[in-house]
Amino acid sequence: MIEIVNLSKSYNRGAVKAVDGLNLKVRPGEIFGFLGPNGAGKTTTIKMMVGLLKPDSGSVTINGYNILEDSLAVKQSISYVPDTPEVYEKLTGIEYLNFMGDVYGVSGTLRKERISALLDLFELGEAVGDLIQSYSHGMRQKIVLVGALLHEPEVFILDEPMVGLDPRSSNNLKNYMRDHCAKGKTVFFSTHILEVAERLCDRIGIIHRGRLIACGTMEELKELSESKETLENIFLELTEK
Amino acid sequence: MKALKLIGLQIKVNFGISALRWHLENDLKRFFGSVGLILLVAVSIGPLFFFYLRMLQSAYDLAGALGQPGVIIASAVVLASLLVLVFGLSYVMSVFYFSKDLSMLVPLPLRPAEILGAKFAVVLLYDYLTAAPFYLPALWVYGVNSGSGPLYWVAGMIIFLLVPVIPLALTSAFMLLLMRLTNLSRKRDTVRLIGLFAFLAILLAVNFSLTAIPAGDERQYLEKILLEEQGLVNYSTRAYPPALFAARALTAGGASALLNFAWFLGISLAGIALVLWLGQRMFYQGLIGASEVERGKVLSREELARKTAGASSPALAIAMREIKYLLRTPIYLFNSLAMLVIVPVVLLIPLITGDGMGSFLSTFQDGVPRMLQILGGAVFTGVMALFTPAASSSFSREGKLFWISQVIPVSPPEQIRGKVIYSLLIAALFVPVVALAGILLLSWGIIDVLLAALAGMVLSLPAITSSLLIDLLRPYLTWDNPQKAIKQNFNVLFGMAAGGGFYFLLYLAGRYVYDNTAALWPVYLTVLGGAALAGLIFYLILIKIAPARYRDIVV
Repeated sequence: MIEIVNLSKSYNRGAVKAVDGLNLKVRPGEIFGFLGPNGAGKTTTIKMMVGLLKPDSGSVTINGYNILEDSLAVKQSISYVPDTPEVYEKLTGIEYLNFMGDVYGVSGTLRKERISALLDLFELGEAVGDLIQSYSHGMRQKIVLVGALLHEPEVFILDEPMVGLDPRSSNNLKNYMRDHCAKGKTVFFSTHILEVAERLCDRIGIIHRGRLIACGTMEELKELSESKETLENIFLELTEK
Repeated sequence: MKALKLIGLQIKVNFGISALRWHLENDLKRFFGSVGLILLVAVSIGPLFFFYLRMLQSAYDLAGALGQPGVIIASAVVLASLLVLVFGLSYVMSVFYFSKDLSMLVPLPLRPAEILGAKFAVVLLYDYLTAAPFYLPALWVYGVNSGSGPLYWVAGMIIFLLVPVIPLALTSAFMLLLMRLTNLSRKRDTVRLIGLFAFLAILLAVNFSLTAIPAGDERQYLEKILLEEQGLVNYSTRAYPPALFAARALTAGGASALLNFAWFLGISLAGIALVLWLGQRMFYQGLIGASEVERGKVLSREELARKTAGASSPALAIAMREIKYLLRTPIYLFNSLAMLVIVPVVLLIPLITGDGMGSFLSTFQDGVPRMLQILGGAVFTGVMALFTPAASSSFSREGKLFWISQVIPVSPPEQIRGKVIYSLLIAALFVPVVALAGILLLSWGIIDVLLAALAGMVLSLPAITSSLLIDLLRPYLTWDNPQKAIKQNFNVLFGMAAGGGFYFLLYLAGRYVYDNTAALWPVYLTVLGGAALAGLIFYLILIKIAPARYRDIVV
């Protein structure tokens, strides 16, 4: 469960408002897609949600914990996958996964099971003994995903997760997100791939110039638009203004 | 033309000139922060600089009495050149081969020599910063005292521009060859590291052998150096012969000065030509594929299960992450552990050559109480902990990956404990050097070795925690080659200055206690107690401010 209240963040001493009074609620068991043009404030919002940026005002509460006041409790219950898979290149895949297991406190027995299953899911088993330095962009993205899913987070937050993934891995990730939410957990992700958002998300939020300009199910979004057609048309129409 | 544009761009990027200009126009607070930092560095090395100037003046007076004042120029050129030669190794490797912009530059329609030339220019500019504090004061002291005319100052400044060129050209040529040859190797990182350490060891050995005074003939030899015309200058430049041309160009006068100047200029230009020639032929062959790593064998189900079955504490996991990074990043390993090679070589060479060490050792063995010897050993470990940038660049080295430390559910104090464990382990690597020197040279027993090890760890603690504190306050995370995280990181310098100042205070306290009690135990208690207390205080401050710093730092 995610609750964002009046969240704001500006840069250059207030000259650029990246996020402007954002209010948002994401319920347990929901896949929420966060859309917006480049520079709309998606990544800034996500970074404030996971504790990488301090808001100027407002609050982010995840699973009942405030990110500023109980940051460790929030971090223990979430996972974050950034838009660029910057990871420890000088570690092997398995060393990175063990590191993530250690810091999230995943026991040896659980770790063994989950790593094996996730490596199979993302077809990374053959490369896990190699240095991450030798991985392609997509493989790096996958190892970050596996590391992020090791502790089965209550809330899974992803910034542009499909970029760099091959079609099969992308499909596997989407299925995983569905299964994850079926267990009552939450997925929050930003994307530019509107077809994915349209097909996968229970609800969609569109952010433009730092403000949430639309939020709801596909049906609800269609009501907001004159064309009432695809998400692409709705998106273009709403962000043109 | 393209090459000049590339040099201009590289300088802008590497020295943050564009960023500084942008801050001046848009963010004055950050601009003055950057300028203030540079001023702070200048002020913090001010006392050392003043001390160096006074030393040069005394040297000028002494050498002047022997009719050889030019020795101060010669020595300054030798010192500056050797520093460029030694420090240049990791600079060159990092800037030439591990800069992140190379993947963007190589596909551009540029010749390898053009890219290499631009990179060479960047390292050269850094090297001016290394050479200036040693060379310029000597130029000043000699010029002012000898009442030299305008030509001296003009030639002096041109020579300043040339001083780092030859050593940098030598280092670059060595690195081009090393990277080219080792690119064929399967374990290329390891071989390269061995190459770096071997180069350093050979350099030191050659230096010692060139400047060694023949055993048995010390008296005649010294007389010859002191009384022969330019004997001192000739002797001091034996460690680095091109310095002789520079010194004579500035001090000989007339046609001889001109001729020596021409030689120095000619050798420097030849050095640049050699680097560009080698660069055109070898740069890409060493670069392309340099960061490729060999694919290991595929892990079987059993191996995977075995490797994932164990769990460890977050602090230990962080310490292990740091250790693995150190071992697998040649630049970090070389910078952190170069002292581990230099010190034993420096100790061993005089022992092998019998260069007057016997009498020095016997004086040390008989004249210095065992307790002080042990304390000396411990101080060595502490000082090495201070000079090793393990702690002072600990947060900076994480660079853009600091986001991981910010999002993992491990409290910042716990993460800092991991960094303290790691830094203590690095300091502990110097204990065997102390132990070996103590056992072999001073006949220490096992208790002495253990005492020196324990005291060494205690003395390392304030150096480690104060360095971590400095780096946490203002980590340098936006570097684009690993060398910058260590060598171009002001925090490393501040850490050394602060730790050095603290050790000096400890020395004064120990000295005061000894003068007043004439006993050694109180000295031990003062020095080690002071170090432990300061280490603890710095640590407590660290963990107090860490949560806010981890939250506020923006990568």
